[in-house]
Amino acid sequence: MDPLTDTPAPPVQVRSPSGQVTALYQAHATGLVRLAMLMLGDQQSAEDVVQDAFLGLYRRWGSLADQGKALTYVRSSVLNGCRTVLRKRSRRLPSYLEPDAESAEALAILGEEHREVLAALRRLPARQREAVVLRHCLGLSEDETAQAMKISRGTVKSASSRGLAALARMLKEQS
Amino acid sequence: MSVEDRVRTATRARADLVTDIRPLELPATRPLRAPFAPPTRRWAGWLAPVAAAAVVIALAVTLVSTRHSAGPPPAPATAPAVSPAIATIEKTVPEYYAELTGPNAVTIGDDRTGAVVATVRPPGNVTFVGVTAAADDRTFVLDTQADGDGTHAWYLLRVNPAASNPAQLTPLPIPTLPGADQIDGLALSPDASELAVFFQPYGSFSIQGANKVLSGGPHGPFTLRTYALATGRALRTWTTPAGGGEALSTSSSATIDNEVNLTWTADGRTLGFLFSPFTTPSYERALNVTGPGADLIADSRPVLALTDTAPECDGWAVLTSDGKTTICGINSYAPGGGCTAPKAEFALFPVSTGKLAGFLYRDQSLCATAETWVIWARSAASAIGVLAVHGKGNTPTITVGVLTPGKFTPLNVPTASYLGPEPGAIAF
Repeated sequence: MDPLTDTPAPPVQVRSPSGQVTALYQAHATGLVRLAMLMLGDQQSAEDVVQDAFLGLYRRWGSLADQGKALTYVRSSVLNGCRTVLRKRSRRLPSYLEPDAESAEALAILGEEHREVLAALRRLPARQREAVVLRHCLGLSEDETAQAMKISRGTVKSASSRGLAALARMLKEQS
Repeated sequence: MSVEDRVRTATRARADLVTDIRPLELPATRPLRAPFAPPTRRWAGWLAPVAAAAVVIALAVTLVSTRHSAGPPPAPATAPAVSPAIATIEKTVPEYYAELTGPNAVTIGDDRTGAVVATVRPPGNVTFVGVTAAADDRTFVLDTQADGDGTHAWYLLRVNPAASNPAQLTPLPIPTLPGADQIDGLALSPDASELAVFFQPYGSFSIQGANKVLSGGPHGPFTLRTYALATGRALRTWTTPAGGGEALSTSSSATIDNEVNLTWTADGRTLGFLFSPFTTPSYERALNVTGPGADLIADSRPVLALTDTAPECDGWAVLTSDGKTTICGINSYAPGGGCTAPKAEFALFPVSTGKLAGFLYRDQSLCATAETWVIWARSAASAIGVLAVHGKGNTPTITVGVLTPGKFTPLNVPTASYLGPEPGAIAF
């Protein structure tokens, strides 16, 4: 079971690259879109990033040293894709200013409490937000988070710790 | 409930709203099985020593116009009227700009009158992807990318508004770079003798529609290289240490050339650049190009710690050409058009202290969300910046103007163009 999706791994009998990548997508895409959505704030961009990541995986399938680590590769690609989107947005507006980040429907369903937490989360610097989402929202271990973010375990610890502290401050100020 | 629990509950609630996602759309073609092979270089012929020598001689004797378009005519004999405000702008602020106004067009314009001096088309099957300017207000260098293999090649653009042929485009003997190299910075030295290029090799790329899509695989080190314009010879190269190849930008990249705000100081001795790969704090750095060493980080010095000292700059700053100050634009935030604390600012950070020392210009009258950035910066008292004010519509109102202490004087620069007035897409 993958902690991102709670979905069983794809069957091993699928042989063609497109079949294997599609099977991975079917098993993990929803979880990865959720991850990207938490990073970016809107589902459309999240789906675009995940599509790009799997497209990149497909294009590199033949040259992957270890196809068994495809999910690790694609998870990192999703994070990279989110960073690219956020960087491009930051040339325009800070991420928390993005006007269409949350749909009206989603905002209506979520309560005030959740909306405040999500808004605060989106105001964190990108690295802290990634660390908090991967560690505390998706339940990845420090090692898995470090691997996905391509940073050291120590940096994961400090980034998530600082992120939580900043969240606590922001939420206290709002209450 | 702890903060961790609150975050976990809220994010889980939001994530649970994601249920239906679109199916994977894979291309019909087979996946790539081998790493990217360097493309055939279009300019290989004149990279040969004999041909290169011929180009040097040709450059030294005369600049040959190549396929200058029959686009808009030269500036009229009677120039359009200049607004009283613009007339007060000091002459040290550049008058001419070159802007990418489409994949196949560079427009040279007069920022005082708004007149279009010339429109230049690319030679052959290439696309314009970057532009940088010297300090003489007449010389520019353009980066082009070949259709298909994406190879980067370089062109000199000389402007003479009074001439019958006011814009001359000449190929430069600088070696091409492969299409899989992401160009993150481009800066022509003030005396137009050297071109600095900041780039990062990627493993592979593909062209999808109008976009160059870089692979998300391992990247090479960040590389900053200077070239002699006359000979094309690489003069100096600095790179990040082995393993320091964290990406500035990764997949689906179609970034404009000057993502890192690469700039020269007026004395031609220092290059300023923004270094903000994701996994390290962001810094504006200054590199003494006359000093020893080849390590991009160890041999340069941070002049502003953006992550720690100036997070409101949103990871974006530029070194002034006098080398004394870093300027950054700070966006205003006014959701719903409210006026609680709106401000759009151009903040000044002296290199000597790295601390906020004041503001070149602050617009506190805006009751709107507005973005700010800097295109050209001479000193703490003279720069060209951009104000992009978001009204009720989707398209912001963008104004390019001269920044002097406490003042923003709009220039006659069209802003509803192809890429917008971004560093690398427009140069003064």
